[in-house]
Amino acid sequence: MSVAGNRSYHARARTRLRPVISDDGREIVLSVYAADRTVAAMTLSVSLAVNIAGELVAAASRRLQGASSTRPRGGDHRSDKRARRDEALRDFATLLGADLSLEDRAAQIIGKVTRYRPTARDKQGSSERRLLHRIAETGLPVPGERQMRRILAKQKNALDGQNSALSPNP
Amino acid sequence: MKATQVNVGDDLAVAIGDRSARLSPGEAFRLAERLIRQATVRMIVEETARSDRRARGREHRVVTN
Repeated sequence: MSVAGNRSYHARARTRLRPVISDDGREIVLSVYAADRTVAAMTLSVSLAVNIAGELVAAASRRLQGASSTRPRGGDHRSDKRARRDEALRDFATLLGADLSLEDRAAQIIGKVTRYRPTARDKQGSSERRLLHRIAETGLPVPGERQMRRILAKQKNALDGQNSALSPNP
Repeated sequence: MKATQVNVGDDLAVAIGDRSARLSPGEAFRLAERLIRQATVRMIVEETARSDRRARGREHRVVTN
């Protein structure tokens, strides 16, 4: 931390208000301190002290729950959608000509998916319209060429694996 | 300086009168713990004093009878 930053940190620490509980054996006093002097204080009854403690615990718990439920904590939060989209893209690739290279296949799919505009009847439409609908309803962007090739290559690898497993031993 | 009202906000700001101190969840739990500890001590002290008074009252009645 720089000297100026250090100074402002200590200045903030000095001016920061902090609550302090004091008990002289007769009464519980909740005070707010700024630096080394009291700026506000209140004597608490037993029941009020317990009520305030309850409110503090409830508010702190809400804060912690909010933090744990809303803050992203890494990982791919759309992995399910991504898996659904990629599966639909691979299914879509099977509809295209078998003689196409991976690059051509990827380019054709990108073109079709980009041009696709969903309609209400697509769910009952042709297998191509149904697959395009499945891809679009994930709400994910259309993959670029490189990513599309990678997605399709997974299917190719899987098929290759299946074929080699099925092929008889020499 | 003596205030008459304490409020705890959802943002964990403890307001006493027109002054408020914002706490982290950890600070809030610590403050709550201290409040409960001291309230418990107060309760025990008051309960002991009450039973002492009751016992002294019984002794007084026995003596006067």
